[in-house]
Amino acid sequence: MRKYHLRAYLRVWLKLTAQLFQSQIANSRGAALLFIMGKLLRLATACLLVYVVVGRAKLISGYSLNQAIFILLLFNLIQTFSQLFLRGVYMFRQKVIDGTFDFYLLNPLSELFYSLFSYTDPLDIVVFIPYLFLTGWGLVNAGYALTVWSALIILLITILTFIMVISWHILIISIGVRYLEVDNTIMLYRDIERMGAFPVDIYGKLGQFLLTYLAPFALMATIPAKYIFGQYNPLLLIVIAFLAYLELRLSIWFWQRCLIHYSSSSS
Amino acid sequence: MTHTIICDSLTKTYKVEKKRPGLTGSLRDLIKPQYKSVMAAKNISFVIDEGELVGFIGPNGAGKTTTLKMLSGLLYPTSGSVQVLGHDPWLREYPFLTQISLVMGQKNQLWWDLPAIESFSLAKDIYNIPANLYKKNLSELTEMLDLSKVLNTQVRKLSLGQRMKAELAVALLHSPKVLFLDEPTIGLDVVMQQVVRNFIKEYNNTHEGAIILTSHYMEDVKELCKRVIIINEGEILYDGLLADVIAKFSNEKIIEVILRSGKVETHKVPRDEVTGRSAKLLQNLDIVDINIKEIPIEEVIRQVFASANKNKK
Amino acid sequence: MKKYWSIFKITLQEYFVYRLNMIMWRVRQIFVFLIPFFIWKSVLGEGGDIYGYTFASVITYLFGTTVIRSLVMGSRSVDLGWMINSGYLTIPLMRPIGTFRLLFVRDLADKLYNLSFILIEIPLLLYFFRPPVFLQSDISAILFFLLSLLMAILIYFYINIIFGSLAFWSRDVWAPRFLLMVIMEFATGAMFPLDMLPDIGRKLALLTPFPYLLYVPMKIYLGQDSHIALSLGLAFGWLILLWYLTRRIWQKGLKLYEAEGR
Repeated sequence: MRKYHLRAYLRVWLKLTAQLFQSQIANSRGAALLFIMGKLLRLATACLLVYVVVGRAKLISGYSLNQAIFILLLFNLIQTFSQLFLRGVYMFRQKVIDGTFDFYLLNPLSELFYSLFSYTDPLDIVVFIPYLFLTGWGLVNAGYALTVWSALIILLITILTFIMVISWHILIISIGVRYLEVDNTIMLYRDIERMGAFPVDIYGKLGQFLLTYLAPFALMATIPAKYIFGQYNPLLLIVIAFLAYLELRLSIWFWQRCLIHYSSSSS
Repeated sequence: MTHTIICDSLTKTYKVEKKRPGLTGSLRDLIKPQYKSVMAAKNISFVIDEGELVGFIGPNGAGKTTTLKMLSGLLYPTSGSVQVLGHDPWLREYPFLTQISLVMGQKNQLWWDLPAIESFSLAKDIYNIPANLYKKNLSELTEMLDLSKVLNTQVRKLSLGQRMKAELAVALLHSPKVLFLDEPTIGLDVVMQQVVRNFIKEYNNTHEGAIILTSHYMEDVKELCKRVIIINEGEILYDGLLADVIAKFSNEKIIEVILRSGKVETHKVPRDEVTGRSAKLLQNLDIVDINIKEIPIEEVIRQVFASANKNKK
Repeated sequence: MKKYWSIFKITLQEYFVYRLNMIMWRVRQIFVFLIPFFIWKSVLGEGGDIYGYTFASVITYLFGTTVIRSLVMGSRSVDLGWMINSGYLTIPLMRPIGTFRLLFVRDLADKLYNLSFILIEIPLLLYFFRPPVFLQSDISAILFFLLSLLMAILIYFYINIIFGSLAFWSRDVWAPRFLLMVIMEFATGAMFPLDMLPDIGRKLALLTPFPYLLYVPMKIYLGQDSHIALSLGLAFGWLILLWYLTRRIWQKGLKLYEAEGR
């Protein structure tokens, strides 16, 4: 991906997204509303779980109810953001089977770009806005204020998280190219990802370590929250930045290796 | 750079899992899968030059598409080397990809739910086609393919023929130097096949670049390609002029005699006996007319495949 | 009968074709258990109880619902929406087999498959999480449990048919199903036992068909349901209602079926 192509990528992405929106309008109008309802309801039930658990127990691994709710909301926000751009993975298996992936490869733009970043759902951007307000409310509710500095740190963490998340998605579609299995892998990934919705301290030392340095799920909520609660040294982010870079390089290397075995679906 | 495409002893093997029948078979496959390797292409070598329109012919599963996919960088060759426009296709470098195009008759790259024109404008951005060139190519292609009426129709509502024409147009918008056509006429009716063939012929005459075509309709190849490469079971059986195929593979001719009663009789006769046999036949007073013909190319090629397969066994 | 036996076998065979697919699916079953386990461990791990649940009893509940879930919610009839949209439904409609029977036989195959794998996984779960296992010895409780389980399987089958039939009216079957999944995750009691809710919340939930899929059978098995007759009665009521609705919707929908194909 060279610099002078960046604008082409951006324009193609915008056009793909707009076209998806057009074809959604052509096909399913009511579905969008149901999806948004479903997403908000899922968030509500997760909050209910935290409320049921922490409401009586008062503390969960040293976090108060309001802190735990904030972590849940922050997770929801950052996870939605990262997933917003990576919806292509859900269509990936289909694209390999029906041969569209061949066209991804033949295109001068990177095949990873199409495989991951196409199918951005404009509706996700719609739910993103209420999530943003909810998370802001959660922060105030927990008794903290947002400073410019902490906003910047959260943004930085989000970017690092995003890089790691991309690496994991590349890994998943690499397996997809080789074994034609994506759907359960991505669901497994989502199951593990959901662990990040709760303070990672509950998973014990090993769990916490793996969720921070190997998979980025602690970065999605617990770590930025800890930083706001004054319990995290931002210098540690240097280590994470290095790991994010390493994961990205490794996943791309793995992708190239798997492509060698690609046996385009025969016509 | 001398040749547009250079292919040197290209080989591709696939590992295929053998499935055992029945529920117990499935369970055993699960625990201990068995594999066999299939050679889809064996030692394929040829060169293709600028301006050529070469036809790949062979039965289903002969390795035509596999070869085409290695040439376009989709598949990684197990061994051997390929060079297209001076690039190794597998690296899929930007300059390479902007100069080629692959059209597959059985797959579509158009956006299914939207009008074709949307896919065209997407291609403009993907290939970074300058606005004036895009305009010129678009109007030229829509005119050649008679597409102007269907550009704004949802692709899913187009007939197969219209869709194929739109597929061709979108693949050519960026003026590729090498065009791979994989079964471009498959499933089309006779009239539409002719339209597509005429277009390919005209395009080849008016634009620079090489075209490689695979098809199992002999009509396509007969009408379009001077040179053919015949492939069977992954191996090249013949590479040369189409006109020479008959002479090379068939040492027989057909003598057709028309009798007074209007009945027509045909005799297959070895080449060197044609004169003797026709003189003999002419002695029969019942004969009104006599024609000496080559065996139709379809039949020759059918014989080629049949004998190649027999030699295998 | 023989044709349904073949369908049963073929459905099972399908699972084994994509090996990795299957392995991933099974690994998921274990991971799903992780989050609630750790949450409750951090809250109750040091002793004490909330809502009358100790750590051991919460884990027993979650472990039990995981097993029941594989039986009740294992299903192929979720494919119905896809079958209608892709025109694939034409195949069973044109053949001398009952479409509902076909779907139900495939459901049963899926349940057998799930059950046999969960039996392999149980030792793993037992090893990692060491949940206290409760073996019911009261015969009548077991019989009531089996009855509620059978009704749960049928209720879920009819819910699936109804949601799948939506495809007769709309191309988009994923959005309603997504909403259903979100509701079910919570309202069946899979997330946490419903008696942790305030009384009014629990009673409201019990008016929907969902708790009869997991929560009620589990409670009956554990011998903690003090109104077994009422619970079974409500489950039966839902079953009849859903059966009736399914028939009505199906008959209406079939008239709209376009046998669309690409």
